[in-house]
Amino acid sequence: MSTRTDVMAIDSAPEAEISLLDIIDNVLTAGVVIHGSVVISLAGVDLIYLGLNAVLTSVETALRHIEADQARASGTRSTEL
Amino acid sequence: MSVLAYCVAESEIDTTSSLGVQALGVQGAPVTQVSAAGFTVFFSESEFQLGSEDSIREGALAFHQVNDAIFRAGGIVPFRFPTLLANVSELEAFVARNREIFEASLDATRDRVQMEVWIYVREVEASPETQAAATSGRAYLLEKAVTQRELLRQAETIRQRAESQILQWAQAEQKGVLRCYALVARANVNAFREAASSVAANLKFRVTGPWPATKFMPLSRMQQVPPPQTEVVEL
Repeated sequence: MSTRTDVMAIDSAPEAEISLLDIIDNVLTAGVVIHGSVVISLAGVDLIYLGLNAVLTSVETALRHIEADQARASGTRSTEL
Repeated sequence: MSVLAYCVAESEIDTTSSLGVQALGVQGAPVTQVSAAGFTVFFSESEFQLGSEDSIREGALAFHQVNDAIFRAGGIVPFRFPTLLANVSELEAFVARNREIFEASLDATRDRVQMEVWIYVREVEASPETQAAATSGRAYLLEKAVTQRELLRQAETIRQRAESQILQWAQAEQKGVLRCYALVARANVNAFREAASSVAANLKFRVTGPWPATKFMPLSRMQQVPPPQTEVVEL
């Protein structure tokens, strides 16, 4: 499974500081849920959510990847985010 | 064709400058708006399906960009991605059934946004002896308790530093990360970020936002519309 968790510039409000990880986490976990709205399922399991969970690595793993990306980008050891 | 719901906003919201009049959303589908129960509801006609990781990631990003553009024009109550309904009538029925909750959510967060602070432990290179000790039950529990105390202490420090910007505060621990949520005025986003910008040397943190203030909305009180048929796709 790919664990790409790019820290990338998003076309967003000027004061925003948001990575792709933050966006995926937010759109999957925040907001109104309409039960039964996901129409693709198999044996009671929503495949869309299964797929999205596969995209989302664990929080700890994702944070490590962000730090690694930032360290590579700066060419120095990761210190503070 | 199914509809993919983005968000609910106040009826008078003007997204002409932030979203445009012919905006495209998830998978390039045009973003449409409809009036329902005194609100403006944004959606796309969509056949979004599970695809590759890249396509799901792109869908989530496009979903965010639509909601973010609308959010720049005013308060919104976002739907979780992907919320797919059979048709617009179902979406309208859901909004009408929960009109009071949407109204309360928009009222409570008007001109306000949610900022998030994640506080977590800095990774330390552990010696083999330390790693072995840490796997014992007692050492693990001791280390966990110390970490939790430190995370809570730092959250309280940040909360106090940013107190003048914070209208409401909530926090929850999730897998070793303490996630803090602050409701702040839109005008105070940068001031909050500056106030929350340092923690102890053995911890790390992220400050993100502004987001729609979903943590401070009574969304759990939403009443569900009896679902229609669920389409089962055999693989």
